[in-house]
Amino acid sequence: MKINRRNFLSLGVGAAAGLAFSPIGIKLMDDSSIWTQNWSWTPVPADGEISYKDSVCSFCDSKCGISVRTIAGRPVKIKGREDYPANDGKICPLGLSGLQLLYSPSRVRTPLKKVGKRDSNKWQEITMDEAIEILSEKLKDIREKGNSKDVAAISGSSGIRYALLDRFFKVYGSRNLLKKPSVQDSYKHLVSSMHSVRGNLKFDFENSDFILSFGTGLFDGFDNPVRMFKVNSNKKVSKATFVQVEPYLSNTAAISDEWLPINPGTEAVLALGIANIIIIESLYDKDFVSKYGKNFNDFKSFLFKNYNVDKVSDITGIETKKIESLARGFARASKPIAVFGRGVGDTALSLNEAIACYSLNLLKGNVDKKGGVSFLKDYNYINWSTINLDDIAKKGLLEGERVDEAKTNNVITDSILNRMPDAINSSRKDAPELLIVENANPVYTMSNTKEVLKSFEKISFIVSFSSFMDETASLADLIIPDDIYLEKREDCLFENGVNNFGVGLSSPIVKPLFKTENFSDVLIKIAKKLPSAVSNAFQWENYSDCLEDTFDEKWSDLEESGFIKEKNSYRYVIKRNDFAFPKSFFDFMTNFKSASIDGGEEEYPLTLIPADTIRLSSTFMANTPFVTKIVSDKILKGNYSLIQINSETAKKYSLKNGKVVSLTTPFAKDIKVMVNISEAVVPNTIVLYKGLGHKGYDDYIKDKGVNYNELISYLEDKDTGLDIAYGIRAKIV
Amino acid sequence: MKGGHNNKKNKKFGMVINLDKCTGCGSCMVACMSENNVPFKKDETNKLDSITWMRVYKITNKKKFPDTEFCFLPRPCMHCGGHGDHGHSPCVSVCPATATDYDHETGIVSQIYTRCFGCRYCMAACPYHARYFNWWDPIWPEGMEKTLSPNVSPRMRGVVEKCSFCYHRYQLAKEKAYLEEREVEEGEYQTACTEACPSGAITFGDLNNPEHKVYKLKKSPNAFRLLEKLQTNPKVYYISSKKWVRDAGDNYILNDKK
Amino acid sequence: MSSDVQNKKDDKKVLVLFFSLGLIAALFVGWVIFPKLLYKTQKQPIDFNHSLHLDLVDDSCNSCHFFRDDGTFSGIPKMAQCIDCHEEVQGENPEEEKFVSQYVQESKEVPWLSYSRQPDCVFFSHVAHTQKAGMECKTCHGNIGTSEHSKEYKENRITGYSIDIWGRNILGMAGETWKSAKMDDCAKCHKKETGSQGSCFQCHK
Repeated sequence: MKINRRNFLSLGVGAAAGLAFSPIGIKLMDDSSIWTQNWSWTPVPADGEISYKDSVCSFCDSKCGISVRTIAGRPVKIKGREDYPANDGKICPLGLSGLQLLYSPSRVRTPLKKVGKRDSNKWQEITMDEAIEILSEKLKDIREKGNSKDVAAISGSSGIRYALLDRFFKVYGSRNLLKKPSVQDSYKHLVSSMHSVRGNLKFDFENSDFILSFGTGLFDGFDNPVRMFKVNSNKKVSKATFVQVEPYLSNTAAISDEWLPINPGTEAVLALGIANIIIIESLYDKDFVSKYGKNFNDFKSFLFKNYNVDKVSDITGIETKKIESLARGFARASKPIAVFGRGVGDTALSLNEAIACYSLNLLKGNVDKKGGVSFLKDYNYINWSTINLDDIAKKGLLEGERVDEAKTNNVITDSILNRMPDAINSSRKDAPELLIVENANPVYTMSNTKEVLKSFEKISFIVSFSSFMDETASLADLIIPDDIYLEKREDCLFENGVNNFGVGLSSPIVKPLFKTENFSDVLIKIAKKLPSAVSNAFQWENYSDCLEDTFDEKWSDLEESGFIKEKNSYRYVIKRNDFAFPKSFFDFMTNFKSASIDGGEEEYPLTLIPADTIRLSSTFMANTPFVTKIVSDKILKGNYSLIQINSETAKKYSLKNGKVVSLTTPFAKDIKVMVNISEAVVPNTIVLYKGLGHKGYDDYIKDKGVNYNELISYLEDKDTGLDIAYGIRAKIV
Repeated sequence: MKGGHNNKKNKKFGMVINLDKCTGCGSCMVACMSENNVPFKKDETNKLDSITWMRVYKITNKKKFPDTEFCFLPRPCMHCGGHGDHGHSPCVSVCPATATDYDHETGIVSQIYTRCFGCRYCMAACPYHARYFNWWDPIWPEGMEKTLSPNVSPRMRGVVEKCSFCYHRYQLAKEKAYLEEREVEEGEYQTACTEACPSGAITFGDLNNPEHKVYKLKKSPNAFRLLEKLQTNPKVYYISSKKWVRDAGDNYILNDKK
Repeated sequence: MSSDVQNKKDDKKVLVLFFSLGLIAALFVGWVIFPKLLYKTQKQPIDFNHSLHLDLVDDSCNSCHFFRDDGTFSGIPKMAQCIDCHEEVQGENPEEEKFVSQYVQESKEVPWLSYSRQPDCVFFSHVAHTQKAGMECKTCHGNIGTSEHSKEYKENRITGYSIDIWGRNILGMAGETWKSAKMDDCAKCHKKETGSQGSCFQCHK
């Protein structure tokens, strides 16, 4: 038998026939089509039992209750906690995206020590014990040298955490515990100067039938955003009126019943114009004014002389007709509220402006009333044993000077953080030897970044407790990373409306993922390593112990339900017979001057003002990827911030939509921004959104757009010392 | 399959969104992304390739300063029933892969990622831009994939995705109801955006069920749907007290005569 | 001449022989070797005796494979369940000893190989089938509950699925109901039982 070519072919044909009648072809085709649907590189989330864990969100100061869905212990989704008094089941977009913080690429995963220069970004990983040792040794040395006053801290905390830090600074012997003021400080000043009491100003929006907002970003993140959204929804049902006075059509203005575009910085003028009309047309609450209205006649003649409607119209850019109808609408409402403080309220307002706007509430007698404004004492649940100060502490507290030059006797605002950089840079004050930064990111949030950076260079040692590699942390010499709120227990003050406040407890959803530790625990540990004069004031084993001790018999309640709502909230209300109207009731009105916009008009023909949106966090916490994703492409495009500019103005400067231009202010030169021509801005004004331009964090937010704070400098209110910088003159090339 | 489409027992899930209450905060968008494992990129400013099943549009009355007005308009998938609710949704009728279908029992338009081969006909057909294409593989920063939900499959590059009215939530609600031998109640099946909206602007339910809130709301004199003249028969209704907003709902070609 | 014929006949025979050889070899490869190669055979980490456990529990399959309060199905028990009885070695079975020493004491989950795992794109509701439709576990899972040993787990090297999902014999013919859990099988049963094979979202996620 010969195997020839034909035979071989026959074998092949046979094999082919065999294969054709075997399942190989069909099965392989079937299996490979299934294979194309298996995407081995995409994650397959593990299934398991669904359960919900309650906690509190600490993304901002609203401290909303959250309910975290976990799958077999793995957190997958955050929603608002149903029965939580601060937010009643709902939460803002930042809170919803909180899980992205857990695994954020910018998390500091272990304590870090700077190697080499400040700006080198070179780090050595160290253990938590080593980090605590380094800081406590520094603190010990400085105190021993008698320089305790030269230790400073910038804090953004509240509750027990802040109280611990405050206690530490007292026994250690330094007055330099600094906070960044906000509009709440302006409110305190207002209450103090108008009514000679210490209290917070509260607006009962829920029960008001007319809200007149002087540029307040009520629905852009002001106060507790969830509260405010509900106020808006209820207003639509109750048909209450809401008027927004603002230079641009913010989200708040967009959902108002009427948007009154106003020239930047002239809101207070409008308020006085409205007051004048209300008085002239005799629409004010006569009972109230006759009872409490000392100096009313002075105020009246002052307004009559200075704020006639034509002049007000001229300054504000609002038609007289509109001003008149607004005044009548406000005055004819039964519970009208005038609210003030620009944007979300992270910057203060000058006392004069505040008083001008506030006077509308007084004219309608809508103070200390349901549906009006009220005055509340600080809510306090911390009553620890008194502390004993040793000589070093006493010396530090008595002789030490504030690095921010805050007045010792100013009990309303004990912090004027904005003054610190200039005080240091001009050598009026010595730079601190040691600066502690916690729950704060001053390099990003303070105005005039260049000056801030310059002053930080003079500080010998900076310690950051940030959980993230933010701008300040990356400059620090030592980072002792804090747990994030999803990993720790912490008391959280909350407030929702005038008579609804209390304290909640955040509890860990997961064990700390990285080598981080709760700041309060670290602080207690450090205190215990210091001389007895300091350590004796920290009688607690750890922070948990301190929490339980603070709440005492209320602890089990707090631990079980997750919050304690103050039952006797009226106890905190300052009743009208508790205060007397000051003699100089409207006296300083005669000196009224509208807020100036920083910078000269000739060189810089345009006015740059900031804008807030709830989709951009401008606090020390940067946006999460999800929230940055939903930022409008009219605010951020690629890596460019967009400036919003009126079409007429754009024409004047031949600006085209989408064009990249150079923005220059007295404090920053040639900042590249993109143009967005918009009908939503008053002429000759540039609007720039806050919350962008991060130089720290991760690729999801870093180097995107411009940080508004870099373009401005602080402007000090002559009455309060607070930074009231709002806008600045600018030019476009 | 089509036999059941006029069955009275059939549900018709839909939404009524009160635009007067919407503040444009974007909670619905974030809740949706977090619920449905929607990926995110380092740069999401090109909105054409930015995947947002729920997207809040900002529409304007097109008037010059100072008469400009804005209105926020959240846009999920409309789950079009097509003319007469026969299930001829624009997208379903063009899909060559049967990767999307119309469920007559719920009125929900599906999207099956493993079936989709990425031709994007459905995207061209959808008049609401509710469909999104994965131009890239999703990438989660290291560890963040641990926050993904097992109830929605993550997608890959080359497939289309869109809002599902959180169908998996319906599945979960049904599981509980089956166990307890009862029907799913109105409150048990709510989409993630409805649940999240802090303003309570979104109402979700069975448009066929007179006891559900949406049934009454859709009959509001201020209610309208988007591009009704195309007869896509969307299941998302909007309410606005502003006439210009209601008019804008059907005004997709400038100067188009109605 | 005749030798020519003979030669031609022989040639033909040889051709047929070669053809048959090729055919038989290919059929052998296709029907015997290919299926063996296509599936990777693995043993379960522990040889589990379902029958033994079934005798000891009160609520048959539900005792270990139960529904959670929210109606979701717990699936293969986790260590936390097993530990109730198996904190210590109970009997003399070497498999149990292995289980206790290697998993219980190390507090490690057993990496069971699931015969019926559906891919990630599939949503399957156990409660809809057993509670609502009154089906038995056996219908889809076979007599696994009365088995004394864990059968081998065979995984398709291409798809990564268990053989029990494809479930057919190599002829491509469906056997028992529990040996088929591909989409077409689901659809067929749905069509028969409910009159409709259902919409996509009924099973896909």
